[in-house]
Amino acid sequence: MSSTFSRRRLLQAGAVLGVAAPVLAACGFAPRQQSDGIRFSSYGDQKKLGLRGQLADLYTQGHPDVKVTFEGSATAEYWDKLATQMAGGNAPDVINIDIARIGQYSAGGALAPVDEFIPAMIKTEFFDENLLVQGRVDGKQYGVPVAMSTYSMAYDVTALDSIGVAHPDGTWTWEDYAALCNEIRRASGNTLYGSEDPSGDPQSLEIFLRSKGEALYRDRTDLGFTEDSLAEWFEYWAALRSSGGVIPADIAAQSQYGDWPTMPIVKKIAPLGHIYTANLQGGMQSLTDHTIDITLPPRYTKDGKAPQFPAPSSYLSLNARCTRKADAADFINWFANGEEAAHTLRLISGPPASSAARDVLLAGQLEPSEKQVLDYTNLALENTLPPPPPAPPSSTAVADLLLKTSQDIAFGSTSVQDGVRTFFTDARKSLAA
Amino acid sequence: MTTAAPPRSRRRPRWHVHLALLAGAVVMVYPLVWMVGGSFKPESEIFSALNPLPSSLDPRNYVTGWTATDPSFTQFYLNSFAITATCVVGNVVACSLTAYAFARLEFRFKKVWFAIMLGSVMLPAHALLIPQYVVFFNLGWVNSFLPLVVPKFLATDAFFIFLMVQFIRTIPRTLDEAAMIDGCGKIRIFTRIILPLLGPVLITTVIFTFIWTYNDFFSQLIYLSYPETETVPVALRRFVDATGDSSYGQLLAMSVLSLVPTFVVFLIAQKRIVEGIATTGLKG
Amino acid sequence: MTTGTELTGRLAPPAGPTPDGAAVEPPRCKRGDRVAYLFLAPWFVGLALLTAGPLIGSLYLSFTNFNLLQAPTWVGFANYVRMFTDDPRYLQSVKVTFVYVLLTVPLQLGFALAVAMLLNRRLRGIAWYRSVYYIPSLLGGSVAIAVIWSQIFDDDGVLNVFLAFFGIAGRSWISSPDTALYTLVLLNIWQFGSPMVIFLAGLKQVPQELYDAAAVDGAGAWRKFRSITFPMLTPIIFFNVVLQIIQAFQAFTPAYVVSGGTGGPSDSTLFYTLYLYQQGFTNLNMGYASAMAWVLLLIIATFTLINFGLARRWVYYEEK
Repeated sequence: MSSTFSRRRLLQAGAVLGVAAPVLAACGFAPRQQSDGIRFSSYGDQKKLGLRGQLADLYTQGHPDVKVTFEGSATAEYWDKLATQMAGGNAPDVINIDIARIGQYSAGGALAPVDEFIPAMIKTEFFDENLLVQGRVDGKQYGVPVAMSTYSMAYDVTALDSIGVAHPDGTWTWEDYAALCNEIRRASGNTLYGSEDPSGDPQSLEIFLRSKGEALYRDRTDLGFTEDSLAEWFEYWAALRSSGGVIPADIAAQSQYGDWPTMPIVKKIAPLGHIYTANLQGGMQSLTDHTIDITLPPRYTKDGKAPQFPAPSSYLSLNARCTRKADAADFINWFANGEEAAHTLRLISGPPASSAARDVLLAGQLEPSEKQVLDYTNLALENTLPPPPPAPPSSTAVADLLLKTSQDIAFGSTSVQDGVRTFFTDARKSLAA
Repeated sequence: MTTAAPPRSRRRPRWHVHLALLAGAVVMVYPLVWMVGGSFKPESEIFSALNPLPSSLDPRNYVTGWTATDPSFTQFYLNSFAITATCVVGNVVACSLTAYAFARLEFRFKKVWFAIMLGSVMLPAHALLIPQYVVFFNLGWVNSFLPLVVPKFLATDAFFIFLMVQFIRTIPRTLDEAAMIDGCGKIRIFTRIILPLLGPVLITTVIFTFIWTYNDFFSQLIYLSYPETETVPVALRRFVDATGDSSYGQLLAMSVLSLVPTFVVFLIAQKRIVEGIATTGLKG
Repeated sequence: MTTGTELTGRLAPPAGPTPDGAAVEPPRCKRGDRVAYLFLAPWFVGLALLTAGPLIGSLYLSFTNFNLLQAPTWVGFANYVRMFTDDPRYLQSVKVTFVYVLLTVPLQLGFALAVAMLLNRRLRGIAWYRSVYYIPSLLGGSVAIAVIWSQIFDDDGVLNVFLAFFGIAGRSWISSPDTALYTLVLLNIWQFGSPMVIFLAGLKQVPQELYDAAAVDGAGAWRKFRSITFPMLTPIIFFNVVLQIIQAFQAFTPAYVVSGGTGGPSDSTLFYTLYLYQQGFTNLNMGYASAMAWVLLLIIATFTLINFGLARRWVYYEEK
């Protein structure tokens, strides 16, 4: 009979737990009344979400009639949740959205243009035109930039110094880059590779194309570059791959999976790689005990223009279904231009996009690392070419194709020529759909 | 488990078995050792050092990890337990009722209903997510635990229904018939005969429902948006972010802690699976 | 409480279990239907309220062009046609998934059954062994799994350190197109806890007298397995086969966490549901994703029907 007893006891224990836990967490069972305030959603790491949540509360304190509720998720799953909420007609009013998706969502009619609130409520005069234009689709402004970030080249100072190789300077060309990669390989006695392999990364390709005067997309409906340019790009990396100048295909695929700890520069197997400025102090440096510094990406010719451009780290956009658009617009302006927001956010996603917010920071005390980022930003802002418009809706599918093509070539399952041809056919099909 | 071996058991030296089991255990437990070790290391050592053991036992990641969020993990654990406990009750009750009907009772179109029941788990979850969200949104349940727990009371977990059907079918019908002669109706046969004999599989259902619900990150992410209703797996995800500050040490520390409840539940419950029925009637 | 359990004292020995997959139907009584519907009430409510709607909804979406943001537009069979005529990545995902299912299901189930039999004995500390063997399954698809798996199988992972002892030069197993899928198969086998627990529960349903009687007859371990354990366990094995096939076809998490959602390298781990997810949620082609889901349902249903058909030949029910 022992089991009858023990089963009963187990059931009792289960019943106690079953009753106690729901009571303790009772709030979760009652459906929450849809508040008549504003819902604001954002993505990022723990720290960023915490600060943005604080700002939502702070705004509510100053505006008792507009309660701002904050909803935050980690980046990887934020988009799944947002897409689900959109489809269900339950997306937040103010949406934090990235540069890859603002085109996708605005084309689908999910976002409302904010033009009617400019300049009365949203003060766009504080934003560089180069930043604003990247959130403009068909002449309408679909997003207000919050912070900015710039594509840059990172190099491992400690590693370069230990093998006696000179640091890159900001005026190098792709030829110099390749030469440096091979020199690192040689000087390290084949213990280090020169650089990461970014051949499947659309942002890196875009930087290369811009240095040649081309673009990733044209008119948001077609590819903006020639088959020859893509072949040149793949062949450039293939040559470095065979000389040991960049990491082999399998290690590259490993780091392509995106987590920072798998990046070659963090793993100390290759001292060169690209990063976004905001990420250096945003966590990358803390993953390694080597010193990492950043410089401008290579140009096509010595006297050519630097290809990088300041990009918004993210935008604040307005849900097309929002019923309190004016209140939401006021919150967006307060968040992007306001003094409290500038003090709270500082440089967590890069320098503020708004010059008003930057002035707030410059008027106060700056950490040395903050100064490093602001200085680089100024350097990067000089002499840049105009930025591209938002990516077309199928840019994510094109990115998948580019990654696959680059891996097919790197692993030798297709030739550069065939890979490029297939890529163009398939990418154009996606863009036309 | 100190019970002496039954006298009939073969006289093979036991250390053979122990050796084989231990070797297997190393393979099973290595990742856990790595996780626990990493949770005590500083961030820069976690991925660079091959040795899974930390140089010192610094509990910093545990302390900072627990309180890194607002509210702290205390609230997330309460929420996770509330959801899991409710789901366990729901699944045990609803699935056993349904399974009994499919295994023992007669009704029209039984085979068709059975096929529909099984068919409902054949569509991948990602394709159902949007239509389900629309249903729950229209019911006004989004941002509460209801979309996570109510389905369990409505026997939507075909896995457990089918599992119980298979177990009920290993129980001889002669038992039902004997009880029927004694004047038992279908309901009494269910509560007096079938349910007690289903012990091991009910415990299995408890374990699996607990662990799977506890770990079910995606639906908790989709349906719960506010910090005070957030659960453990969703909170864990935020320690590592592709575009920002990642705290792998805290992630590992909190992941280790998050395994404790499931491990304890398994450790307690697995004994019931094994002892449950075997000690009751079958030994004769 | 115990009247029923006392009766189990005398189970018929497996001399004449019926090789019959279908339940034996007793004479139909008039009240049967009504009582059955009482038991089925929760399930019917769930079906009508929560399951049927979304099922039909996704079927409808499969005939539309739906980007999640605008109302769906009817396109007939276009999604289905495109899948088989104009989408090499789709065909690749079918191939990857079939290889995965064919490898992982028999290997994982065989392993789970073997370990379950090993752990189904009275031994000092056996409870701890059982729990330790379940640990991999507790980890589920957490971020930690991704980190751990690459710590083992990447270029400077544990496996290569081990191989280096024997002078074998390794590579990054997890990110080479010809080995990546097998590391995921291994991951799934390693997480064999669920079928193992179900086998354990099944083994406990086998009456001890049968073994006692066999021991009196002088049967060895293999004969006991062949003529007692296996036949008595067939309903449970059948369950595990059916469900593991369904779950393997739907496998998503391993590839998602290990490849960072890409299905790489070179689409070598592009599982069916991973590609479905990419189409539906990343590229916002939910109509196409829904069509993919329904084709997968047909594939799984075919396998399940074959399983139920074959069951008549090898699954023994004791219920007679």
